[in-house]
Amino acid sequence: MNAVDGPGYLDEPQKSGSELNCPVCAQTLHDLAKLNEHLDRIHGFGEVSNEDADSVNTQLTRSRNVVENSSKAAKANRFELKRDHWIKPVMGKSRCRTCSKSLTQARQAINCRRCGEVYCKNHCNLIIKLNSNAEYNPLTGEWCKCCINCFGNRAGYNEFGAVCNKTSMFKELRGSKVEDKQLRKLQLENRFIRLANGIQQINNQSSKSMLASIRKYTEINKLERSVVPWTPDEAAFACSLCSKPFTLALRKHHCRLCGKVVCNESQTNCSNQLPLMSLIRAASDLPISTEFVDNNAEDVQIRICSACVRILFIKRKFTRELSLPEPSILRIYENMRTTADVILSILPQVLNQAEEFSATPNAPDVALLTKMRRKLLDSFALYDRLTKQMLKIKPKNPAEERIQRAIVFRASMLIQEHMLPLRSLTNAASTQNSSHETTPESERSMNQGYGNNLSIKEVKEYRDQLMVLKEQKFLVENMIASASKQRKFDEAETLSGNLRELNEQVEMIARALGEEGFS
Amino acid sequence: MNLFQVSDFYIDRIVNSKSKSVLNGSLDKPRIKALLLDKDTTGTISMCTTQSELLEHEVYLIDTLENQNRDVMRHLKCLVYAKPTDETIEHLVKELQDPKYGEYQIFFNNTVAKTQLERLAESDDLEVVSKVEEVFQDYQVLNQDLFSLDVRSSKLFSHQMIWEPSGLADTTHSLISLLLSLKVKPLIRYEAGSRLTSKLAKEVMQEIHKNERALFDFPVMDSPPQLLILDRHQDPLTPLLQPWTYQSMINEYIGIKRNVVDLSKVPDIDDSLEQVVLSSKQDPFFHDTMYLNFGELGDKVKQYVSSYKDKTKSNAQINTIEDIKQFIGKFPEFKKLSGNVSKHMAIVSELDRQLQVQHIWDVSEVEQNISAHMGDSQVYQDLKGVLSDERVSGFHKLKLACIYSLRNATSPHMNEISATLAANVSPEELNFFHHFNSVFQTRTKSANTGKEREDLISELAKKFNQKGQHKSDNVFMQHVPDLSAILSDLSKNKLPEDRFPFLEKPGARTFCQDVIIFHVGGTTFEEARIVHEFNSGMAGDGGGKIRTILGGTTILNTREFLNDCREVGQGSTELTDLL
Repeated sequence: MNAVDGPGYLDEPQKSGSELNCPVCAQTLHDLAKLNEHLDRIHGFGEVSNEDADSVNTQLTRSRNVVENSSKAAKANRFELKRDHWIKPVMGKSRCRTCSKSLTQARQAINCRRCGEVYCKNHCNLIIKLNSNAEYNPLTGEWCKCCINCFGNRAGYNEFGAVCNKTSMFKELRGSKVEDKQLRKLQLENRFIRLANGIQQINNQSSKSMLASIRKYTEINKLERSVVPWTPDEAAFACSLCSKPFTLALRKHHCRLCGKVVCNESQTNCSNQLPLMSLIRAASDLPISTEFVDNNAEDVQIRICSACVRILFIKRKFTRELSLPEPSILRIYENMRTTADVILSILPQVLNQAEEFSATPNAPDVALLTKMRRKLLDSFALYDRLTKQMLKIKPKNPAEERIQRAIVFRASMLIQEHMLPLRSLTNAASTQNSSHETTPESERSMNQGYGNNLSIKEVKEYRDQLMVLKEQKFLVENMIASASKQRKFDEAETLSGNLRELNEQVEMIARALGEEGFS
Repeated sequence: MNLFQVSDFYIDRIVNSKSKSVLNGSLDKPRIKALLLDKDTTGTISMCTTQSELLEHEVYLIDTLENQNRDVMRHLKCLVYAKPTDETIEHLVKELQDPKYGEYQIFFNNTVAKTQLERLAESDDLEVVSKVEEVFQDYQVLNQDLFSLDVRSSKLFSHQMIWEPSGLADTTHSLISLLLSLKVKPLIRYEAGSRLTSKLAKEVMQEIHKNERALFDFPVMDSPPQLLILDRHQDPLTPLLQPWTYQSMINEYIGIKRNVVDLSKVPDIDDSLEQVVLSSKQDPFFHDTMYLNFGELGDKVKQYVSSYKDKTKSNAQINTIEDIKQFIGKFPEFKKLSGNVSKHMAIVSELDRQLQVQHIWDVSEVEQNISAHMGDSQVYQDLKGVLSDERVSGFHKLKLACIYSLRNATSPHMNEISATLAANVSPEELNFFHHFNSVFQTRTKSANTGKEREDLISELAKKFNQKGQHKSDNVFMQHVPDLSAILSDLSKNKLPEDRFPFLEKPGARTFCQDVIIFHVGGTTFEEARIVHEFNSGMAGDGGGKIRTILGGTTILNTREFLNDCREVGQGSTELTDLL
């Protein structure tokens, strides 16, 4: 870096003794005069909102410049910072941008050298390298005072989190690596097509004439050898896949696609007799004629080694599995998620509306609110139903079970988070709401239907309350059980107090309801 | 320079990565994601996020790459987050050859070598990988300004002063990942007279130069950040003393690994509290109290409990249905609070018990006096008292003797001390005492003969220069780690260059604004507190003048430090004598 230093004094070795440190940038200076000048020029102490002094100061600086020009730092001395963007502070009126205290003589005003805004002394004590146009220049700039904003906005200061994408490199590598594998696959596919078509043709002929059916197996054998030259038995001493030496017990077999000699052990699964028809079905995208299919073809088997099976069929198996319908867990989850999206989008609206409503209750809002609220509650109900459905599914494997558990956990969190605070609110709205809608007359008319002096509405309300209470009772009982299990007895005590009160309330309402109650 | 911010950014990037491939015809169809981790990234992830946060991002299945018995879930998208070691690459290769999920996005927490990438590409003939990305977080975040590589010294060094080649490479790469994650290209400073630090500094520098174009392509700063590499052996006193802040006491007396505190050994502990998670990111109470000393902590816990009691009382008065509804609505929060209260109560009471059982109050007072008052005869008498006290464990006696010998190497009492020690501890421990002395005394001798003089000066400087850091009158916190002086020098831009030379001296005069301090051999939570106080002091007046991040190869407690000294030096004492 060839940044221009202060006017040259840094280039000299630091001498002990009479040196002084700049209080702003801790630069070492030789004597008081130089420090003064340094402060004036670099940090702008000299011209704090003082027009007259300013001109004097620049004069002074210039005269000093002349003196110093003899030294080698002449170039650096020409550094003149742009100042016309500075906002002029007005004593007593201007306020520091950071602490908004009004600036007085005691709390000196300073312009941030970069943005020109006015700050108090305490909030403009950071330093930044600026060029003469007051732009940030980390290489050739000079140290100047600046505010926290300009300090923080320097390029690269608040950045973090480098990442490096290797996808294209990976794909390139994969492309080059996979190419020969693709060729090999094509080759095997061709052989397979020839083999399959040939065998079917032979089959077809054999079903037509007796003679052909006798010759069938020799024909097939001939065909197999013509598709791929077999490795001679004498040349093979060990299985080409598992490298086990052949013995009397471990027989030699030829793979009909690659012609290599492999073993037939059930443990290593090096080769297998595979029914031709299922192979053809597994590779249904290949141009194999299936018009000759008849019963005879079903029991033709060909021996293929595991390596060839892998090359030919793994990709096909993979894509087929991908196109299978999703497991029911994922399907239900999809529904749950859309429901949750609906809930989350309506919820803030409802809350807003309810707030407005409690401030200024008027009729049209109520209708809208009720509608929204109903929609929201419906969505919650749906969500709940879906969660229950999810619980009923029997997972196919441990992984599904874990996913299921995680989804249910997340669902219960969502309900806890959004449903519970909503409950108190919606009820408040609904009671007011109902009192709005039902007129006294209709209430009276309903009154007559019940023996125990309760209107339908009251019965409904009481039932509602009773339900809520019973639910809460149940919850509190559970909490007590868990609290006493965890030996949090003070908690349990509080809770059982609550339970007592709940019981009283339940009884009271039940009495009020009388006949209309439900056990 | 907030490490939590960095890790949040990375985790967000991983879990929300979009799949570009529209191969399967369905855009973004598999919404549920599986996350595969390896043994290194499990730690990193678990310290920065919680399961419920991951659930929110629809990561419903988390498993390890090493687990071979995972079920096939063809319709899931799989996110792999792994450290690019050869071992995990092999696991990945196996996974790609026989994929369990429909699509793979692979994230490495450090730079992956080209050969490793080739190996992966070769095995991906099904073309299931749709994304490979390097993010850089090959370290563990403990606090917002503290990280650890979580490697024991015995694995890093073949000798007190010599790196194990693999250890050096691992440490270098982890440090590089830290620099990249913070997007800094620092000036590197190391400790003069420490081979460990100068070697590491050179390695890091080399690595930066190697990747200058590709990775370290950050804007030039007017005041470049600094990476200051320190050697634990230069300040062995700090990890030897009994700590007194909440976080460090937990590490000392109970043990905290990857934010999990294991309370299973505590007598009469509730089942639900056997393993508790303690993270300054998720637990606001811990966030507020982690740097407090035990006395202040007691007050805070008392307040916390009483505020909890107030809440139970307000809950006790339930008269109307409205009250009940409110209670039920608040219950999850209340429940969380009560869980947290009982967790902290359990931890604090266990700490208190340990202090009593191990007679830490006495031990620590003597320790602190030894470290603060050199050559005081009263201190010596106290020390002798504790050394022959039968209630104090051999470990603490040994430690006291070590501290004394560190502070008073040339004291005439040394022979007497080792005689007293011989009578009270096992021969192995006595043997270790001599080993410890030989390691650290040779160092002080070779480092600088004028150390004592310098100590005196720095002591004076400490006394006068500690603006903003209250000098505690607390008997148990008299010792001030060397780091404190280093930080205060840094803030004045006066860190002596002969003691902490630059690897590449900057051409122009620079100031220090961002500092990353890395302790080779491990750092302590006590030092983390100092850094935290320094940072908040800097942020206090006028804004973040200097931002500091502390890290270490591991986080030490006293036992671990002594064990490290024991294990690392083993079998090569003769070499020490040569040096």
